[in-house]
Amino acid sequence: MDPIIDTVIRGLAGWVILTAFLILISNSTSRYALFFSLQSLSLGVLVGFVAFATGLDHLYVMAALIIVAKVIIVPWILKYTVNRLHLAEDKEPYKNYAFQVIVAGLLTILAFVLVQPILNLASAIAQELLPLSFAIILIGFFTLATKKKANSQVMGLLVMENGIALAGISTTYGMPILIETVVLFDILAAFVIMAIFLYRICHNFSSIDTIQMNTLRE
Amino acid sequence: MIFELFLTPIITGVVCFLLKNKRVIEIVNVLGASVMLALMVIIAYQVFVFGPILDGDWYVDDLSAYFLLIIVFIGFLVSLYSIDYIEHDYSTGEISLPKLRSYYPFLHVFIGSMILICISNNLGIVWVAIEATTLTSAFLVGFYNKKASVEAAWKYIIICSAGIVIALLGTIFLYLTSVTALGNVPDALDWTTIVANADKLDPSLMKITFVLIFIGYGTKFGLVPMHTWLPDAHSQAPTPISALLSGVLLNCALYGILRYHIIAIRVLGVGFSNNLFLIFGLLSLVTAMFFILIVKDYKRLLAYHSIEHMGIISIGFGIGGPIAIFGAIFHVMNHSFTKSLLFFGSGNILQKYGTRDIEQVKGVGKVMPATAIFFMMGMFALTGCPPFSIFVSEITILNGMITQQNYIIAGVFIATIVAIFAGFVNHAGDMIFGEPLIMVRSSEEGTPALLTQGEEPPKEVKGTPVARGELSRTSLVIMAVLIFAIIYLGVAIPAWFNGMIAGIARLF
Repeated sequence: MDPIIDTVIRGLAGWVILTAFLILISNSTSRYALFFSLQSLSLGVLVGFVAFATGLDHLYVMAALIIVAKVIIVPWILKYTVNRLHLAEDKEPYKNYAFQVIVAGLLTILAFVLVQPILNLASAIAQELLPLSFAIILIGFFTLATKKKANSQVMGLLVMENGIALAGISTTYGMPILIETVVLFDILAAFVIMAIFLYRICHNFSSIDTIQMNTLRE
Repeated sequence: MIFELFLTPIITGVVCFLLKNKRVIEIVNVLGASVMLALMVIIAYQVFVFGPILDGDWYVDDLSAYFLLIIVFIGFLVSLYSIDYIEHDYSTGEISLPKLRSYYPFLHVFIGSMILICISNNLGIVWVAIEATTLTSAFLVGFYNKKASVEAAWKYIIICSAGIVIALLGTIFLYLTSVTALGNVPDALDWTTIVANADKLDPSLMKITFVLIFIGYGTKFGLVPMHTWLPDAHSQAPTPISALLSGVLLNCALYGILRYHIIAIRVLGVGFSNNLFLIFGLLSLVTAMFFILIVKDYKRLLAYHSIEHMGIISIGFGIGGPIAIFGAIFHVMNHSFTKSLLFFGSGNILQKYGTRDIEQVKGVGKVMPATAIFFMMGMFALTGCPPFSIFVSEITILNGMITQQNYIIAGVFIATIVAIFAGFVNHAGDMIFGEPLIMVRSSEEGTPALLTQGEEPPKEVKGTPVARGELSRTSLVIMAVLIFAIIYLGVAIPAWFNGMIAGIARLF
C-alpha cells in the first residue's frame, strides 16, 4: 500500500477514536451531533481511501452510504428530535470527566491487549486498525453504560456501531455490499425508533433522564 | 414456497395497516394467520419427508423447520387470541381505535421477521432479521404508552441493541474466518457453505466469533447476566405479545446461536461452545430460581420462568451427547407451548382482575373456573410435573447428564427445579384456591380493594365487584388445544415425532 495513503488512513482512524473520547465527555445534544458527524465523516473518508488503495469499487458505495446516513441524516434527526422536546435542561447530570477519560484510556489499553492473540491472523492494515476499533466499541459501551440521559445512551450505541464498521473495514474490507447496505438500513431504522421513544419518554416522564425510570423492579 | 411463508405475514401486516374497519382487520388477521399455518404444514411435510430445501438464499432443514413450526403455530394461536383481548382493551377504554388498528400490522410484521431468521441461509441476513424482531416488537412492548411500558420498551431496545451490535461484530468475524479460508467467494456468509468447509476454518478466529455471537444473541435469548430487560418487557407487553416474546422470540435467538454452535462443533470439536452454554445455562437457572421465589407480579413470575427454561435448554445443549440434545430440542417446543398457554391464562386473569399483583388475585377458581383449571395445569406443567411434556424433556436432559457422569450439574439441576416447584406452590396456591374474595375495582385508576365475603364495601370505593364468568370462549378453546398438546406429548411421544427430533439432534 502507498505509504501516503497508509498514513492518511491511520490519521483518520485516530480521528475516529478521538471523537469517541469527545462524545464521552460531551453533555449537550448539539455537541453530540457535531462530534458524531465528525466521527462518521472520518470513517466515511477512511473507507473512501481504503477503496482507492485496494481498488474495490463497492467500498466507494459504502463510503457514500456512511456519509449520507451518519454524517447527515442521524445528527439531523437527533437535533430535530431534541429540539422538538423543548427540554428545560439538556445537560448530563453526571460530570466526572477526568474519571471518565481515565477509564476510557484504560479501555483503550485493554482493547490492545484483547486483540493480541488474533493480530497475526489479520492483514497489515487490520493490525493497525483492529485494536483501535475494539477500543472505540468499548468506549461506546462505556458511554452507553454510564450516561443517564436517553439521548446520550443512543449516542453510545452509535459510537459502538462506528467502531464495528471500522473493524469490518479493516479486517475484511466490509461484508458483501448488499449485506452492508441492509445492516446500515437496519441501524438507521433502530435509530429512528429510538428517537420515537425519546418522544414517548419525554411525554410520560417530562424529561429524558433515565434515572426516573425505576418503577420496574422486584 | 419458503419465501411465500415469509411474505404472508408481511402482506397481512401491510393490508391490516391500510384497512380502516375493525371487523375487517380482524378477519384479515385470521385469514393471514391461517394461510401462514397452511404453508408451514406443507413446508414441514416436504422437509421432514424429503429432506432440506435449498432455494436460492433460503434454506430450511430439520432444525429450521422445527423452529418455524413453533413460530407459526404459536403465531397463529396468538393472532386468534389477540382479537378478544385487544377488543376488551378497546371496549374498556384502555386503548383508542387508532391504537387498536396499529396492533395488527406490528403483530404480523413481528411474526414475519421471526420467520425470516429461520429461513435465511445467509448469516448476515439472520443478524438483520434478529435486529428487526427487536425493532418491530419494541412498539408492541411499549404499546400502552404508559410510564411502565415505555420504561420496559426503552430498556428492551437499548439492551438488546447493545447485544445485537456485539453479534454484528461476531458476524463480521465469521465473515473474516470464512474468507480467510475460502477466499472472496460470494456465498462466504452462507451457513451451508461454511459448514461444508468447516475443516478449513481457523480455530482461534472461530472461538472469538462464537464468544461474540453467544454474548450478542444470548442477550436476546435472556441468559443471565444479560437478562435484565426480559422480565420488564415480557410483563409490560400486551399479554398475547408476552406469549410471543416468551414462547417464540427467545427460541429465535437460540436458533441464531445454534447455527453457530453447529459450525463451532465442526471447527473446534465438542467442548468450547458447550462450556459456554453450560456456564451461562447454570447461572440463568440458579438466578431465575431466586427471583421466582420472591417475585410479586404473576406476569413477571412467568418471565422469570422463561429465564429458568432458557437456562435448562442451554444446559441441555451444553451437556451434549444425543440424549441431552434430544431433551433440549424437545424442551424448546414444550416450553413454548406451556408458556404461551400460561400467558393466555394470565391474560384472562389480568383483564378480569385488572391487576398483576399475585397478592391481590384470589379465588380465580371461583371467578373463572375454566381459566383457573387450565392455568393450574399449565403451572404444574411448567414446574416439571408429570404427565406433562416438560417433565419428559427435563428427565431426558437429566438422563443425558447422568450418562455423561456430570453428577454435580445433575445435583444442582434437581435442587433448583425442586426449589422452583416449592415457589410455585406458594404463589399459585393462593391465586387459585385462596379464600374467595370479592374484588372491588374502582372505575378510575388506583389499587383495587379486597374484601372478604360478606363484608360491606366501604363507601369511598366506587365500582363493581368482579363479575363471575369467563371473558372469552376463543381463549378457552386455544388453551384447551395447548393443554391437549402438552399432555399428548407428555404421555406418549409418537414415533414420527421421536424420529423428527432425533433427526435434528444428529445435526449437532
